[in-house]
Amino acid sequence: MISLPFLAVMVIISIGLSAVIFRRNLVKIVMGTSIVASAINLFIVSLGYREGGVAPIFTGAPTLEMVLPTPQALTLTSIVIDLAVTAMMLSFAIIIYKHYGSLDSRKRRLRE
Amino acid sequence: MIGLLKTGTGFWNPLVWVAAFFVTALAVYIIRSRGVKKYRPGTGQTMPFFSGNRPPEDGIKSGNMYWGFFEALKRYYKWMRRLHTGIVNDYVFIFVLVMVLLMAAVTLGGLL
Amino acid sequence: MSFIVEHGPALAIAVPLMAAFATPLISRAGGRARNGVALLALLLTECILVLLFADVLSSGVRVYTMGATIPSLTSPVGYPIRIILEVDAMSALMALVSVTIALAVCIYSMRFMRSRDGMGYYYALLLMITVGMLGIVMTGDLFNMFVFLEILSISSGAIIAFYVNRGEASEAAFKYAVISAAGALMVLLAVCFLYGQYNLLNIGALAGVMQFTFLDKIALVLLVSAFALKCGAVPLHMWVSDAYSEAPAPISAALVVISQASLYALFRVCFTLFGAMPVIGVIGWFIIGLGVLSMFIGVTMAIPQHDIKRLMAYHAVSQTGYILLGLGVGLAVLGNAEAIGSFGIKAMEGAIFHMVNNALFKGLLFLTAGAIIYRTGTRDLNKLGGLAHAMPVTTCFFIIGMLSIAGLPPFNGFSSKILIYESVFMFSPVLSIIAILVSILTLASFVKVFQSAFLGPKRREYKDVKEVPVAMLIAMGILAFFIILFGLLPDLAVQWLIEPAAKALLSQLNYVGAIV
Repeated sequence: MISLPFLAVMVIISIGLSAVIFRRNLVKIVMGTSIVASAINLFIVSLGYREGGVAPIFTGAPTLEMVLPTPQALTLTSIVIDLAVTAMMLSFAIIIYKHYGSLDSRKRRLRE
Repeated sequence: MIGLLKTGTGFWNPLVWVAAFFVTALAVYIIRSRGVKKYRPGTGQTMPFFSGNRPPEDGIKSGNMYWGFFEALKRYYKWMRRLHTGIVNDYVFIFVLVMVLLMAAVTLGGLL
Repeated sequence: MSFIVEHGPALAIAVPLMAAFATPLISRAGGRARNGVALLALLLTECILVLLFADVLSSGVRVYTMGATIPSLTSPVGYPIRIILEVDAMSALMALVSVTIALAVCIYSMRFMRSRDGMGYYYALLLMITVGMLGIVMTGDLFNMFVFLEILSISSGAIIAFYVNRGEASEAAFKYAVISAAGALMVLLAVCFLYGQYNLLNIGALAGVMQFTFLDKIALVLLVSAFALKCGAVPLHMWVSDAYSEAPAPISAALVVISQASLYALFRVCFTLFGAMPVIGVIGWFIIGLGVLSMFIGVTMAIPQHDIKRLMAYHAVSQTGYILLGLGVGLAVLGNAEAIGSFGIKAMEGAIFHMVNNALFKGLLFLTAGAIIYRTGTRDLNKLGGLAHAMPVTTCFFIIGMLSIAGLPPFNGFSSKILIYESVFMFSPVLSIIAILVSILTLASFVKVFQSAFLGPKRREYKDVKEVPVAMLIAMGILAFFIILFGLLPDLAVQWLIEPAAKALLSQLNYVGAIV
């Protein structure tokens, strides 16, 4: 049976992707992208988990197994990237609203 | 020799082509210069040929070109223009469809 | 000199990166200082990459470990740790092409965008685009490739929306950003699948321990579709026409090379990482299918366009189809050593040569379109006419680009297309015939552009149009020089640039052996 974090990740990715595919409001599309990115961050962190492990800090550590530190570094990078992408997409949405007057993705002027 | 590109099943030498082009161009120029000079600028010789009709006042636009080609492929172009909606949700939907299709192909290919 | 070559991969990324972050500050000192810094950074990067390329040709793969005591110390404890940059002949070739086009774009932008506001940010984003492209092609680590892919997507998305006075540019950039984010997140998911199984992120190390489980197949599917999305293969091509047409004209020329960075990533994943996988033939046939669709749909959607940049954007999709066709043929026969030797490697050489040529002639065509827009102020072909009287040099460059993209001798388009035609014919004659037909349709659509924009009588509204300034002509001249050079001496290009790259892609063992 698949473990709970991985199942949660798959559910959240499908929720996020369906928000991007089926929602017309530009801000909701941006939210969908952010949800997918958060789900993947959850996936990365949960990959490093070891049963009964402690935080990977050497100073004064108990002599137990540590969880992997590399996924935590990958997650930090991914969170920052997601922040930049979300900020950029939201600023595009602001400019589109200023020029077009609506945030509907179907009111596009660049077609075919 | 220099300039000789060997494809797997043949070869191509652009320097020989350029030499042949200049020789041919020279021959064409000599043959044409021995003909009768019949160019009278300003007469009907310089007007575009429009099968006897009067050409449009503001010139021939790019939208008027290749009419026969577009008439023959009218159904294809109607279908293509309908597919290229310009809506961003459809773009991500097609991406997910292509992923699903490729996954099915890889799974079937692995079973065979 | 050996210091530059030894630290070459890191220097080539660091120089434009530091210049990119310094540019908004230096632009306070005036326009000339900012232009000079950007130009100097790109020239320096070009020199570093030329030296690195010469070194890689003579002594094989060069690795650079970030943060180790000496750069080649990749595995101090038995398996690779730290981020490792790995430059083989294919990486060095792509890096050289990227920075050359970026240099031409920078020289062109100095004049094209002179009278605009916010130019400090423009040059910073242009240098960040260069960093992103160089990072993707020179890295040997999958997560690092994702990071540089996102750097590239964010910077190019921001610069596509540069004309904030038009809503259409932001709409195109929004679509580009959503598509790029979706693709890059799928790449990250695939990297996580691979990391979760093998606890390794390095491409060479992963290729050594790959066991072809079902999760690896999912990762392969995710990576191939995401990189095909980012390079604009049909049916994932719809963002290309919007983004390339609304970006500033020199940036459209750079966007072609940006799409090719994703093509490089696709090559790298398919050949080096998953090269020994049993289902790689299915992926090869899929890529052949994408290539044929891209070629045909790209060119048939290009012919009815009346916006000059949208037309050229659809042609970019079509030319990407040629590259995917050559690559797919190489992948489909990857397990068959005799087929690889007879036509497989020639198909790959054709595809890689076409990547180089596509960057050159598509860049030149976008720059000439920019020249037309600079002087006449309009992009609509229905309104243009008779520009050849006033802009003869631009017309000459346009003819060179047009004959090259249509694959007519003696220019470089023909040299790479004949490699693709003849090797794909050995694989399957139908594909080769479709490729030739698409070349004819390409010529047809560019004849339409040539007639509408350049031929015909001079129009009243364009009577003040003069030739474009010298800086823009120099940039176009650089690209035209390389087009004519690769057209007249293709065997030198194939022997020194392309064949080492194709051989480096096929030899997975060299790539893996440099790491472990």
